[in-house]
Amino acid sequence: MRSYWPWWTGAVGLGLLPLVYWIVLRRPFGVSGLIGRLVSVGDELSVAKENAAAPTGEALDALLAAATLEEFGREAAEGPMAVAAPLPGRPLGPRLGILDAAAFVVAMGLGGLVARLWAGRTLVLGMGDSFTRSFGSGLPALSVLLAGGVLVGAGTSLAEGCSTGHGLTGSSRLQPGSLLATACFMGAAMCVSALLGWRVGL
Amino acid sequence: MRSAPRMAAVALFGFGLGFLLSSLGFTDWGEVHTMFTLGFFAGGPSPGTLRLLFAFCGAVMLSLVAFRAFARRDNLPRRAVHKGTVIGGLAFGAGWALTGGCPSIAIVQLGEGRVTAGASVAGVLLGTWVARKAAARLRWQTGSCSD
Repeated sequence: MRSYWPWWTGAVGLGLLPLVYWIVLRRPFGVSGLIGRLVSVGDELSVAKENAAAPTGEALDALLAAATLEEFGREAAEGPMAVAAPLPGRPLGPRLGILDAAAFVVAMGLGGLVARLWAGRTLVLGMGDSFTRSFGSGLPALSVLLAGGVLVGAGTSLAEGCSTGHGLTGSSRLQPGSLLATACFMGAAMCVSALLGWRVGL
Repeated sequence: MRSAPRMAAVALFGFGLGFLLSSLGFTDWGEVHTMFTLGFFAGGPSPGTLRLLFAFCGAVMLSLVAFRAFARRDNLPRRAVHKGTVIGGLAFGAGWALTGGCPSIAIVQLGEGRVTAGASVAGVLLGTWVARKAAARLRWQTGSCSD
């Protein structure tokens, strides 16, 4: 069995992931958003249906031009203002599809499995000794995991991001919402962990 | 990018993240707790006990440099402070400390074969569903600017 990789491999791998993801997919990297897409699959499908029926491309351009002419007159529709200056830098791309989100999640789980087999670590069904010392096993332990999971899911939805979306992608771009969210979740996690450690002496 | 190559690329990113989180020890509840307690319950702070914290903070710093160098003028969405930022962040942090998993980690733990992580993942899905319903009712903005 090999030990865990050194810290700098994580710094390099996790540090380059948001930029490479952005350049390849033109979307901000964030996992909780992808999970949110999967949870609201019903809404997603109805939106996809509406989008499929809506005009696109040149048909959409023609409709917009006609509406502009009607609302603001010939000057706005055909004058120099009508040609929008392109924004500098790479544009934001279309959102990922619901199947893309599913593929990401399944592949991520598979990545964990392959990493464990690759490193020759034995199969562990639970969360390990430190967790068992804190919460025991069986139904009480599963209740803690379920309740904790609800906090993670609800918290990341309300904050609109998790350790990847806010912690990595947003914080590294110095976005105020991401910096505040990251400070809040790291602070809360440290407080709760300190309480657990102090109570059971991990 | 067309849809099939795009999905393959998305899956590759997912696989890479899962592989990396598992290889680093982020899926190990004890390691995560050592990170959050700064090693104070595992012999005190040292390069060994602050390993995962170095990885996370190092990643943020590298990403900061990388975005500045290669995507300075790009049109990434802004992330403003809003009503759910603080309460959501605090709830997420408490949940991460209890389960040892952020949304990604819980799924990677399940993939590794830790079947009890199924309870964490079920909780994440349930919590996400409930919060999205509640946010819609409260007219809080949610999930609008990320995937």
